[in-house]
Amino acid sequence: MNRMAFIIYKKEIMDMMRDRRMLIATFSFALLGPVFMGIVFLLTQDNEAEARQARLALAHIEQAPGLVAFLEKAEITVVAYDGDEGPEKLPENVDAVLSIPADYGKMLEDGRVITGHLFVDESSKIGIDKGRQIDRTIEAYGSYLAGLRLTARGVPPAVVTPFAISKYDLSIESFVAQTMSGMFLMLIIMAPFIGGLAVAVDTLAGERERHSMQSLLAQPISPRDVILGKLAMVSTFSIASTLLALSTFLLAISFVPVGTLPIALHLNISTVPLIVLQLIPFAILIAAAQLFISIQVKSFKEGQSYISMFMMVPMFTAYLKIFGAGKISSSAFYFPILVEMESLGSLIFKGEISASHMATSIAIALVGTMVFTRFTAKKLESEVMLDAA
Amino acid sequence: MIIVKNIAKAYGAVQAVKDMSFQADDAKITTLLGANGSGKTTTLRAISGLLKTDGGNVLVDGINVAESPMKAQARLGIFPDSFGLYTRLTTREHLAFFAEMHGLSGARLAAAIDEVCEKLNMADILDRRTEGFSQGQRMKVALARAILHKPANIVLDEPTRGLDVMNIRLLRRILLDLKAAGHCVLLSSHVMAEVEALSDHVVMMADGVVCADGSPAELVALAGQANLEEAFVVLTGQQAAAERNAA
Repeated sequence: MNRMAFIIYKKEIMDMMRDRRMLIATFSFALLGPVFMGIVFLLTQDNEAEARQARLALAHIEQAPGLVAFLEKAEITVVAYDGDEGPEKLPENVDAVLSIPADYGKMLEDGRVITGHLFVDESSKIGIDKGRQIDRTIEAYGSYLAGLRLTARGVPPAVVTPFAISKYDLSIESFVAQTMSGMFLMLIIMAPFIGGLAVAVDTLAGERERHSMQSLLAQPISPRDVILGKLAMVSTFSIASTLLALSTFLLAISFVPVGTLPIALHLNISTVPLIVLQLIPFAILIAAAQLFISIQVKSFKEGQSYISMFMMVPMFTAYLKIFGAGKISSSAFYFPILVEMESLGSLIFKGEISASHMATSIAIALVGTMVFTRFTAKKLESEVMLDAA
Repeated sequence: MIIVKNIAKAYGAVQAVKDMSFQADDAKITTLLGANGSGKTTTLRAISGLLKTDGGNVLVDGINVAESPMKAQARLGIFPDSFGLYTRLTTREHLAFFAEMHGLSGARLAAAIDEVCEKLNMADILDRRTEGFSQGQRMKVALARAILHKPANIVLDEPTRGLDVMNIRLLRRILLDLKAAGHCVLLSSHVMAEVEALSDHVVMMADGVVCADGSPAELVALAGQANLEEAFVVLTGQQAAAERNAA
């Protein structure tokens, strides 16, 4: 930064730091967003439930020792259920209730068809998973019994089971983990947008509104230096907001019990500097884009409206990544914001550098910053800058 | 010295300045006198390097403003039509910011602030944020900002608007001091008494052109009227009639 741009930068920082409302608007997200995320993590930590065995409450348990043994072999805990009627809701710490006839043992001996009722609660992902595990195991027990009956009658079981299919889950991460990681990335990506919003509007649209732009432009300073100084100021707020969001998140996450997070975080001495390296050019790019928007408008209010609309870009892009990652082409992950999320995601959740995404992200940030800054400086030369709202 | 040669400026279909030429000499107070919308602000903005003219030239101490706006601006002190202060900065911070852009720093900067503060009698507001300043206090800051770096040429756009008598007298004294110190002072106004009391040279404007140009006494004599106000009405009226005939 040259001397003239530094004079602008110094004044802008001093000016903005004295606006308490602006500071609150700038840093509230960085301080509260990660805390909110930490709370969400605490509330959604299903790992404990996910890690424990599925529990089935079985009515007339004494009638079905074979079924119990089969279920326990499949790592399902079976407890007795007291009652003949199906429950209105599942008992505590139970994933399903199986109701079998009181004469289950006799019916089994007679080789009759046994009608049972399985009650599950599919209102949560855990409920769905555990319920299906129990359902599948009972079905498998049924097939096992059928096989025994056929063998006893001299028929090979293979006659009625032409297919023996094993299912393997190839998804890299669970839905919860995918949503959580996407939300975390969205939080980090949103931080520079929110961090620079108020100051970017104030420094150009606000300057026009206050009629101070004319005095500034009458000084022996080039529009380029004015914009560079202002860009440095907005970038300072954007970077500070982003790093603060990252730090607050790390602090918040330290309160979540180890091993209960649905996602693995590789935030260590080798990845954090790379994350920062990735985020700084991105924050500067966002600052440059916000200044470009701010210079198009005449008043603070008008600027806020447009820059608020600009905020939807990272939000929608993040949702696209969270909910549509498997459906969009891999080349789409080289577009702005998606490429940052992809690169940061690789660093944060895998501890790996995705060189192509990182390089693309930094290149987009550098080129984008230059383009926005050039157009903003060009616009500052325009006579319309002398008109206030 | 400021020389304006045949400048013209249009905003879309509106021709704000048509063919404007005049000269503002050093050690003189030159006033652009014209009604609202006559092109005074446009002319002063062209001199300040804030807008590009459609034709003609502006020279500030021989520097072509269109070719080297920053060099010209370094020789100008601008008092714009809006004070445009930074309300979260104190007067001292405000002045330091603008002075630094003119190359002042350290002890020189501090001395320049002290000097202008004494000259404008503004010690009471020097370390106060400019938010909530009265019109007179705001004028002082804007004037201090324009003269702090001791520019050879000072351009003021209607500097007395909204000021009380005491502040007008203070401003008048400052402008006379600048003139005495050899500065070229160029201002715009439509207040006849102020123009008559202050100006060495008056450039009368109407509809974007110069309709008469000379000392207040010369203009009164030219119009054959008793005072400058009557002379202004006659001379600008003649211009309007000429415009109508041409149309």
